[in-house]
Amino acid sequence: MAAVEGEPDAFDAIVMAETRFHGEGYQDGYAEGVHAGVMEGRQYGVQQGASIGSEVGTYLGFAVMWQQLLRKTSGEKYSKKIKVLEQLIEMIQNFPLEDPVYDKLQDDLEKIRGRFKQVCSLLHIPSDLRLGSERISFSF
Amino acid sequence: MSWLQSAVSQCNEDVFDENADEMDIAQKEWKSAMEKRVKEGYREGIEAGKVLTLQQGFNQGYKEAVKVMFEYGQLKGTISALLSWCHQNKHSPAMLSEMTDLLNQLRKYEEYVLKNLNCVNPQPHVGDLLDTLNDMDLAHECIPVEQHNGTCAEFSTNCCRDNGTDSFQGECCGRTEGHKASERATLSRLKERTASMMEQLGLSPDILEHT
Repeated sequence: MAAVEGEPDAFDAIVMAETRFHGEGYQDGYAEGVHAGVMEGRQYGVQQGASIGSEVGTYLGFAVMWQQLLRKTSGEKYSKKIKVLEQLIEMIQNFPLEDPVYDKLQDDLEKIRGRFKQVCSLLHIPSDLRLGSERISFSF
Repeated sequence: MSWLQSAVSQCNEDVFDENADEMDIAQKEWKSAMEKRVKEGYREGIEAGKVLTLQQGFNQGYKEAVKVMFEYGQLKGTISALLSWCHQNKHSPAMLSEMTDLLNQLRKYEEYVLKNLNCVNPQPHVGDLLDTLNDMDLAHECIPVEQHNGTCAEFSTNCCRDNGTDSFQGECCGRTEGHKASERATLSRLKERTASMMEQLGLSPDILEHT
């Protein structure tokens, strides 16, 4: 009888030991994962944020400066140019730059890029001079 | 399943000496089976933990980087606009090369700031900061020696302040207050140079204040 009663206990012990060891591993892994997730996520976030921030900021600085240059030197004949510059500036100001989970980010960004190209062609700026002879890109 | 027998006999404590060798093997198998369980648990735990914080880390990194780099981008765009305008209006080569130089310095510094933002990388050292500034020939302009010493002290205090167990910020100290201060100083310096160029062109440098 003793053997028969002993067996379930032994199986229980094995199952419990397996669960316990698994659980111990899980806990260690979880703590590590929580930490690694922040680090890994942050790295992607920094890449993405830096790339978008720099690109959009460049368009804004460029547009605002050209607006001032045209106003200073121009009369009526620049009104079309000024209008398109204003549109670009407005698009950037309405862009939720600091929202990391904005769902239309790519769409909006494409529209801003399109408007920037339009601005450059209106102002007769060759592509190699648009952003100081260098396309904005980050290599990681 | 000999590790199972081993477990059973451990419970019953009726081990005969002549079985010792066999038991050794069984115990080893038991040990390796349990180590396997620990590893399995560890792997599952890592995945579960990561899922919880990946987005949080992403958001945190994104917000910080987008703000900082937007400001550099604005200045870069401003100078690029001036450069294209000066090209069109046939300004002096000296002015053009001054602008190109400014853009190059800005780009170099932008890369450096980006490196600091990536706190996963090893902690940037004050020496690296100075090397970069020396390369750029900016050190004399933006980091006076006494300020540099202050930066050193800030480095060590800031990096250890947040080492609490409940905080993920502990190792996230790639970009300290010391870095930020020197970054601001360099950015101001670059803005001042841009402003002085704008004044030479008869432009109001007011727009730089909003960047």
